[in-house]
Amino acid sequence: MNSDAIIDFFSGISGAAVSVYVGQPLDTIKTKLQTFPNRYKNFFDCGKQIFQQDGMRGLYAGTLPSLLANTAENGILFMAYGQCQNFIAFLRNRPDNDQLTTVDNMAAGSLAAAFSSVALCPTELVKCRIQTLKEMQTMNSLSMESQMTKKVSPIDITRDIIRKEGFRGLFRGLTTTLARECPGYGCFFGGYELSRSILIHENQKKGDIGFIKTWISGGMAGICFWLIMFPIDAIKSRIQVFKPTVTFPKYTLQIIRNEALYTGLLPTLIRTFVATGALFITYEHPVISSYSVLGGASILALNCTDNLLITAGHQNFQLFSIKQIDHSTQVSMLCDFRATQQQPALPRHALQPKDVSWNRRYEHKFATTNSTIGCLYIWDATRLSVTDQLPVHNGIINRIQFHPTNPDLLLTASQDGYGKLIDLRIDNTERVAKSFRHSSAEAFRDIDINPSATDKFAAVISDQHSVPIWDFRLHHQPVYSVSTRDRVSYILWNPHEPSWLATGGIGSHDRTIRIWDTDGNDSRQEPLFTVHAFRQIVKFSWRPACRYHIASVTRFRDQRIHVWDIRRPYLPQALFCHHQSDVEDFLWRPNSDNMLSIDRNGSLVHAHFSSAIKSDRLLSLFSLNATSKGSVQIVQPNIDNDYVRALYKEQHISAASTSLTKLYSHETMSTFNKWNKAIEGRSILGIYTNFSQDDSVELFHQFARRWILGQGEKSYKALGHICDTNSIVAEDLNRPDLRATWQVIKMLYPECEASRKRRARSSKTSRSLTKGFRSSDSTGGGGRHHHHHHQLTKKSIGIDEQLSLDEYKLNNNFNSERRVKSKEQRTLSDSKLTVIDDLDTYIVRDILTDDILFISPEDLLANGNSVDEFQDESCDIETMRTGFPLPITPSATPTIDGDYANYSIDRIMRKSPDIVMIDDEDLKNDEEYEDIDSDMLTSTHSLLPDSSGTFFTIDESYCPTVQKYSLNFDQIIRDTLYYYVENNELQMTVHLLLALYPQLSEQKRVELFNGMHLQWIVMYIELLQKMRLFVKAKQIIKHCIEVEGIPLHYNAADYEDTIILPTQPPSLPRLPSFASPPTPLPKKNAQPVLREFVCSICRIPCHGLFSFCGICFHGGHIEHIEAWFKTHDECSFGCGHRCRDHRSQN
Amino acid sequence: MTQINAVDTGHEELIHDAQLDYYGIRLASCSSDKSIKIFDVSNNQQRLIADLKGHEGPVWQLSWSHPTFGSLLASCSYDRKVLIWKETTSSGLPPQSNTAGGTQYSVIYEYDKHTSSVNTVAWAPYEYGLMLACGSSDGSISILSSTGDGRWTVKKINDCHPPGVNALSWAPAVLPQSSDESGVQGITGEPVKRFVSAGCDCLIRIWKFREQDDGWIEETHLDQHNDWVRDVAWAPTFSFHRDKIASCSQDGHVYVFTRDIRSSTNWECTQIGTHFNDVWSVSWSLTGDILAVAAADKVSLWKVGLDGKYQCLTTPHTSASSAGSPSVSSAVDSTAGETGNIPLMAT
Repeated sequence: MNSDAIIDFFSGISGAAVSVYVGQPLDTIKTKLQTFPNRYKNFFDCGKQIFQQDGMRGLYAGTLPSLLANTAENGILFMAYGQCQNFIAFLRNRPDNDQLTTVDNMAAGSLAAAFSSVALCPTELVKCRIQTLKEMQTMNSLSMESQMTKKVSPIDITRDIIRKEGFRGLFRGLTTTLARECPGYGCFFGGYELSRSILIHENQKKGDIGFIKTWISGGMAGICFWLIMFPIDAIKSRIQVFKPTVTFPKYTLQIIRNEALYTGLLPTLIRTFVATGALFITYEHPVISSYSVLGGASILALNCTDNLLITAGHQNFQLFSIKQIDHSTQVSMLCDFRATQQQPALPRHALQPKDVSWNRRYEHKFATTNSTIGCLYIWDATRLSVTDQLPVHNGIINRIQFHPTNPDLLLTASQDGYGKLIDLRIDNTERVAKSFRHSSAEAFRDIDINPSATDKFAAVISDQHSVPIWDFRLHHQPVYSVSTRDRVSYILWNPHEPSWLATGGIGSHDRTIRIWDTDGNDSRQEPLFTVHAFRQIVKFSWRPACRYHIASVTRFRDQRIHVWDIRRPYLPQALFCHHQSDVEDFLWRPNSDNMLSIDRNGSLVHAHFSSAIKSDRLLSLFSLNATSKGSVQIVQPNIDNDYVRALYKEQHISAASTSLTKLYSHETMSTFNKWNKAIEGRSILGIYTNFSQDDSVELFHQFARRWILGQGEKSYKALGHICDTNSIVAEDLNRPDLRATWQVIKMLYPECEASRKRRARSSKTSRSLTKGFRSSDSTGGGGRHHHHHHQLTKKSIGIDEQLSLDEYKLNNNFNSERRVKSKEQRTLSDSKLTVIDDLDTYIVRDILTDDILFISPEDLLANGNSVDEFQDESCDIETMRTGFPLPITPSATPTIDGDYANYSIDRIMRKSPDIVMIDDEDLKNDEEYEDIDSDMLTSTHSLLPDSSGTFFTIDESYCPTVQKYSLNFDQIIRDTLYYYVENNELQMTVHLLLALYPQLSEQKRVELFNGMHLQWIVMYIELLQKMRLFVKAKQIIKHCIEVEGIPLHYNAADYEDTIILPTQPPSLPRLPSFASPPTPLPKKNAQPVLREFVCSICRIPCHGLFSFCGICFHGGHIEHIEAWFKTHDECSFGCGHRCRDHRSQN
Repeated sequence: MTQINAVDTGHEELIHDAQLDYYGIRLASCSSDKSIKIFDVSNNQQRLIADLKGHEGPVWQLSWSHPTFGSLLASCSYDRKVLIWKETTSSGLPPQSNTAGGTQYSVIYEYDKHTSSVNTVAWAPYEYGLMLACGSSDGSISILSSTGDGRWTVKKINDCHPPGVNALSWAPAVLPQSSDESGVQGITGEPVKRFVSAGCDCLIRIWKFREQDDGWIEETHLDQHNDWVRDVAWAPTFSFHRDKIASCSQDGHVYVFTRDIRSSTNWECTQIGTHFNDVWSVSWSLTGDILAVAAADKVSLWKVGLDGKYQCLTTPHTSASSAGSPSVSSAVDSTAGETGNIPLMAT
């Protein structure tokens, strides 16, 4: 099997798949009508019934086997057909498949069908069974019960057939299939070839007849097929469905006697016409084919009948034949002129053509010029030899062209300053009929005879800024002159528009193709269209299929052929990219949309336009950026222009259904024929904002400005103040979730501490022993924090019991007192008040609106290690507060198990609890806390909305256990910060971090964040700078360095007592070295990297004296900065900060 | 959504990209007319400061470098070239941008090793140094990095997306963290250089730089789309563990892929909205919480809700009364305003 056969096979398969999907419903109807001619009234009735009963599924019954049947059949059929054609051609002694007669093709078709029948028969059998399954069921419903009812899959049916009828059962009806297929396909291919030969024009090749005609031919072929073969098919269908016991001829007679055999013909014909046409369309059009020819060709020329091709150039002169063998274009070499001995012998330069032109009437006649002397050669392609040598010019002939209509006329353009019209009928050596000479006497570089007005031609004269147009009848001077203002190298008339002349510029700066209207009544002489190509144009050619399209290649390094719509000056419509090296020449094949092109390496490509890449696929019409100001910056095509309006009007495009792409797409533009102006492709660049819906950037600014940082004090009062202020801000800005977080932080630290102090005080006042207890507690804090009972074991039991009892009583009194206060508070705050007075309940400080976690001691005991956890962790806070070094705990595992931690975080983050913990009543008594008390009072009251629902007061003094064992907040803090980081609320993270920073010991920070916090701060600073919040960024940096001593990546001491910050936003800090890391860290990251201060003007690191802006921290060498600010107000770094304003203010 | 500003660019053809620089001071736009224009857009006004001509074909995309490197502008074009432009200064002195004639930009580097149109260009996060990635229709991606002395080294990944690369986006440089069993997180080493690319093979591929063999390898690919992937955007993130990528494709779908490397190495795919007509571009806000999606008929903003689903911040397109937005074209302001969308088609 050769490659042709494989191509045939796959074309057949793809064709078949298309035809099945198009024709399957009609086929179903056909089969039903054939097998049950009396059940359905007619074609439409049948279709309607099927659709009503089974819907689309019914109509597409048996698609799978049908697909299989058709693909297998057609694959084999078309493969066999090609081979059979060859076989028949061989038998009949024809040199070429193209020359087979209709009868020959019929024979080839019949032969091919015999092969395909074998593949077709079993699949067809299954298909028929499926399609008529329903009818069979109703027919046999009484006798066959449910045997067949559920079996609808093709595999089931196949299995059923093999089981019941044996393997041979699959080939039931093979004889009939053969009887149908062989003559049928004979008619089929015969009809196809016949109708094609009827439809084609004179001189046209069968391959070029186009889409519609191919379809019609295919459809006709199908009709021929079915008209003749329908009765046989009907019999075949019956045999396959009813499984008759009588022989084929007998059964046939029986059917003929009883019924009409043409029932169901109409759907078949419709189906055939549609589907077979489609089959041939896919069969006919592989789009690209590539051939390798001798390299060095720079000219392609095609003869008038489109079947002979010359490639020529300095090292190449070959003749090819182009054949359309049904489905593909075949190019085969007929002659290599340089390799064959010429009669008469020719000089070498005659075989190095500079230009080639075919006669437009005699398909074997062509002329060539050579690159050294002004001699013209007339060739005969049948004899492959020169028939005439004409020494017409004294210089090199640059271009020759046969007259489009008169076969005896030939126009030449020569370096010697003459253009000459040669009449081959004149009987002298030169045969010059007329000579043309430009007034400047410069050389003729190019000529083109107007194909529509054949007595006019345009010429390119060297170094002239105009293109003269001559009339053959008035050879003394040009009839018209196009003033191009630039030198021109190449010209071409539009084949559709008689007055349109395209000119290509010369010189490295002129990369345009201009289209001029030479009607002459335009005195302004502006080009109609200008195409801005990418490089200097060397050749262009109008696309035969569209008068606005022109294909071009450019000089040097261009492997692509661009097809421009001249109405769009900048964007090519399509590009052929089939070459691997520079394209030398190309041409459109007449009457088709195929292009032939040749590259430097001798690769000849025949490609259909559909294989070109349409640039509207590449193009991005849209650009979108979210800006730092929270707006969206959009670039979009401006469709409010004349072209689009005209398009809507002409094409009746509804605005709603048209996409932007489509407006400027290849399809729309090539079909929109009433627009003789350049098409504007302007875009709108706009910045849009959506303040009402999305205020995240505004919020970012607000938070950055309003959230406070504190002064680095370690006191809880200060933290409480920060929390309150920040939560009020969050409330103000409608972020209750953030407010809640700040409140929780406040509860975790300052209030916890407050209650601790209060407890300490109350125990102090009540009983001196408590003090001793506490002091022992604190002193023991260096080690493990012990459980209450452990402590007690150290003391005598008697005292211990006494103590506990007293404490209990005292607590009870205290509690009752508080209960009263709480009631007062309820009336005051107009809120629901819940007093928790269960003594034996731990309150886990997961403070929520509607529920509070109560963990009873029993619960804790039940999960034995939970108690330990609390014990373990409590020491952290203790040591942190008392400033003791962190004890080396045996286990560094997280103390609150994952689920619980997640739960609490979840609650804290996602709800917006209205609860605020207030201990103010109690605190009033405390002198130490007087001012924080009032502070908190105002703040908390302002935090409470009047209508707030639930209001809890929680006092852990009710729970003696809590007093002793403070809970572990670290996990919560860490999880909170990480939660915000991971949800892109970096701002919240950093502010929380900075607020809590004084509270966290160095060890704690390392343990919790391990350096991540530095990265966060830096990223936050960067964000602030990006948002142009320079002052805020400075404030944060200053705060970090001066107040908190956070080691950002530079050392302030290096710049003595000035604050120098990086000229660029701080780069990633390296992890600072820790004195005693709890877990070993990779040492290589422990080196802080110092970046030099880089001058923002010369970008050279500054040493010695330099100057910088105190706000945006950008600056550089003093002399540069001073020079800069003489002419500028803004930062030299480009950050946009107006440093000079700031300077003058200070 | 309302239009607050419009820039009259004076380009003669479609504009394919417009980029604000790091601080939002300068706006560069590029067009099919082969030119790049740079505007000063500070103080809510625009002033053309440079018109760069150097490309020979339509310019598709632009990218501003981080100001650390002196605001370089990279552009890529149909002419198969990537140009890197720099504001010219004479003898170390600042350019006199106040004087007439505008700011001068000159090409400091030209990269022309692609064999087809270069469709996308993007500077890497500045932490990696001066590094640039560009993707071409020839299917390859080049990563150029400056050696600091004016020379550039090139690493080319061939056949990334055989029919062509449409877009690429760098992952933010976040230091990797490790979690030991105690849950303590630490920074381990350098940030991993990664970027995501999208192409005509309908795939999104994620590339990672592997130090040990000094080359780029494909980490994974995402195949949810079934047509050309038009644009891809890696969200700004502050956490090493969470990655988020948005993509849009010609099939009309917009997806956000997320991954939390602590729980899984697989990317989870969330669809944004339902179907978009001709969706072209996606972009994340600076803080990575809002996604803007540009489709043929509207631009919409999406924000992830507390339930993890993306909610549209813009209301569905309705015909609305005209608003008093500054007019650019009647097509725009006839329907801009209260609708919440940017209407793009005349109705």
